Order: sequence, then structure tokens, then C-alpha cells
Amino acid sequence: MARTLYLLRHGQTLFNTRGIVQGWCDSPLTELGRHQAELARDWFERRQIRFDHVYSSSAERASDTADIVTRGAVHCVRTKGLKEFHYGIIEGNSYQLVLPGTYNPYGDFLVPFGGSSEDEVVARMTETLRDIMERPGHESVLAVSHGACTRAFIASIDATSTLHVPNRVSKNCSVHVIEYDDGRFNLVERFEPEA
Amino acid sequence: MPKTLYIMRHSETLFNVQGKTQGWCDSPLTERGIEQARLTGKEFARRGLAFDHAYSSTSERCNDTIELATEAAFGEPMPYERRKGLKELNFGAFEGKDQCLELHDDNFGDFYVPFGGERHSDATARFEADLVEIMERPGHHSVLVCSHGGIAINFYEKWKDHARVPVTIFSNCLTYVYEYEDGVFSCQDMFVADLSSLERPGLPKQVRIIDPSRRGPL
Repeated sequence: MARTLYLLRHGQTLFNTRGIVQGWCDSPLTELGRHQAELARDWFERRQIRFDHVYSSSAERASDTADIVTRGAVHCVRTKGLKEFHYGIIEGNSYQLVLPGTYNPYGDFLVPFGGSSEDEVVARMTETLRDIMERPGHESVLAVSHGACTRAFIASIDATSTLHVPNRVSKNCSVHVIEYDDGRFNLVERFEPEA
Repeated sequence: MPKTLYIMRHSETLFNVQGKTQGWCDSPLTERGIEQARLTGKEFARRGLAFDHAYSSTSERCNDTIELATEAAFGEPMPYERRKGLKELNFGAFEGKDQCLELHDDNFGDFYVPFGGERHSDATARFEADLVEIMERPGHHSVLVCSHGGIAINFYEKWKDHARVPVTIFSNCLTYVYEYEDGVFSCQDMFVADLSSLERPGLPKQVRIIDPSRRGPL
């Protein structure tokens, strides 16, 4: 029987508003970011979706988003496996240094800067999420992660997905609903909050 | 009977090396930072330290530091609780900007408030409130806390009259040793592991010496 993974992007942060690259860097959620997390929370609650397990990237913006979405009620396991791309020496600098048009996918663009390659991130996300979804009692799982690594992962499962989405970063607090069965991931639905 | 509280500063991060203001924002540990944490853990072991509980700021640089240090000290990382009260000062609009813009003296005062940051006294109060709550818990006799440079030195300054040692260094992985009893924190000691093997020519010095008689920016 298929298990369900809800892959959620964190809310808007200070560095998001400044156009500052934050892969392995972090900055606090803005008021809007917290509101976006509440909108995602409301979406789950309206559908009466409950999580048996909650995971988040080890970045504080992700764990803070998880706390808002679950109202702090479910213990959140933090893992580096759900972290964003590492942007190398571009971390903390302007997004203008990341050439437009190289976003989808990054390929090896970030590698000369000491950053991650697309393949490496896809492998890491896949291994992490597969490991999580194979665990006993994991039928309805929330995983909070980041924009670019989610984009890369979703693009990588396109062939086995029912819902096809463009290869671009989705909004803050967007939810990708993914069915997991027998080692395969199937994107079935996506919610993007209007805020 | 007094309890012992160890407050360690996190390891060197990318923003430390780049001279960027880092309070509520965060950046990854450098390779040197990772080694600093490990050497600090070995120093804990060398001193025969044992902690019954461990706590960390919610910032990932502190989480990484405490995990690496306790793993090096004890063979596996200690479980720890993350608490927002142990975070650095919030520097508001200065977050991620050049440190040379921090134009205030040792006491942050109200400098950051108009920029959406935290008041010095508010930050020290919430830091101390968390520490008191922690130290009052049963079974807490020797506690390790991983936190940040600015807030830790503010806290030291607040309890200066009870301190047995002056502050002479301000560096990554510096560890303050406090005795706690009846709401009073008295600093007994501070130490840092021998990190000289990690120095490489051409890199910025990681240790800034504070002359206690000097006023003006750190």
C-alpha cells in the first residue's frame, strides 16, 4: 500500500527578501514566512491530514517551519540529508552571482565555486527520503526542506509521477504530495499558498 | 551545593572568516571550525570533564559544534536540547553585513533596536532566564551549553562582580566555567583547547585579545 510523503518548503526568510543566497547558510523566518507556514498548516488541517513522523532539514528555517505547521505537537527529527544545495563561496552573497538560466537544473554550475552538483543533491535527497519512507510505521510523513533541492528531486521523479510540474523552484511553504510505493516516488499533487 | 555550567562558543564559520555579522543568521562551519570542535572535545576528555546534560542554541553552527565536540570527547555525540533563549543577539538589518559596520562599544546597548535587532538587556535577560531554568532542573550538576560569542560575553559582563577570572580571550570554542548556586553565576575559569596546529599562514587570526582597560569597538 502506498505511503504518503508531504515535502514542504520552508517559509520566507530575511535572506530571501534580500536576494541573498542561503544554501547552507540560514536566516530567520520573516513575519510573512511565519504566515505562509500557518497557511500550509491550515491546508493540512482542513484535509485532516495527520503525520506519524516529522522530519526537517537541520537548517533552523526548516525546523521553525515544521514547528509552526505541526503546532509543535509532533517531535521533529532534524537531518542534514534534507539540506539545500551548498552554494560554496557564493553563500551569503547576491543571487545575481548565480547566472539566470542556470537554475533549472544547476548541473555543475556551482561546483567551481565549491558548491554542490545537481546529481549529488538528487542522490542525497533520494537516498534520504527513501530511507525515511522505508521505515516501519511511516505512512504519512512530513519532511521540511528547501527550494532548489526539492526542485531537483521532483524533476528526478518526473518519469514515475502522475502530476508533471515545470522544473522551477516552487513558492515558500509549497507542499508536494508524493506517494511512495515499492521504492518509487510519484508526485500526485502540489499546493502553493497564496501569500 | 554549587552546580557547574560550561558555556562554549561555537566553532569558526564561513561568516566569521568573511567578517560578516552573524547573530540570528547562520553559516556553515569551516574545515578549521570542524577541527576546532574536535580538538575541544579532546580537551574536555583530557580534563576529565563529564556532563549530565547538554543544551545548544537553535543555530546550526552550535548544533554542529556540540555534536562534533561531544563525539570527540565521549565516542558518540551527546543528545542535547535546542533552545531559542540561547541564541546570539539579533542584529536586525546588520545580519549578514560587514562587521566593520558594528559601530558601538563593548556593550551593544540599544544600537540594534532601530534596525529591528535586539536590545542588549533583553537578550541578556532571555539568555539568563534559560540558563536559570536549565540549572534548576533536577539532576543537572554538570551542564554543557553551546552558544555564541556576543551573548556569552554580555552574560559574563553582567556577572563580572562574581567572576574569579578576567576575560582575556574571545575566540571560537572558548569555554567559560561557571559555578551556579541560588541564582548566582560565578565564572571560575575559562579555557580553549590548543588550536595552534590549525593556524595557517595568510588566514585571518581567529583570536582577538581583549585589553580589559580599553574602551571602543572590539
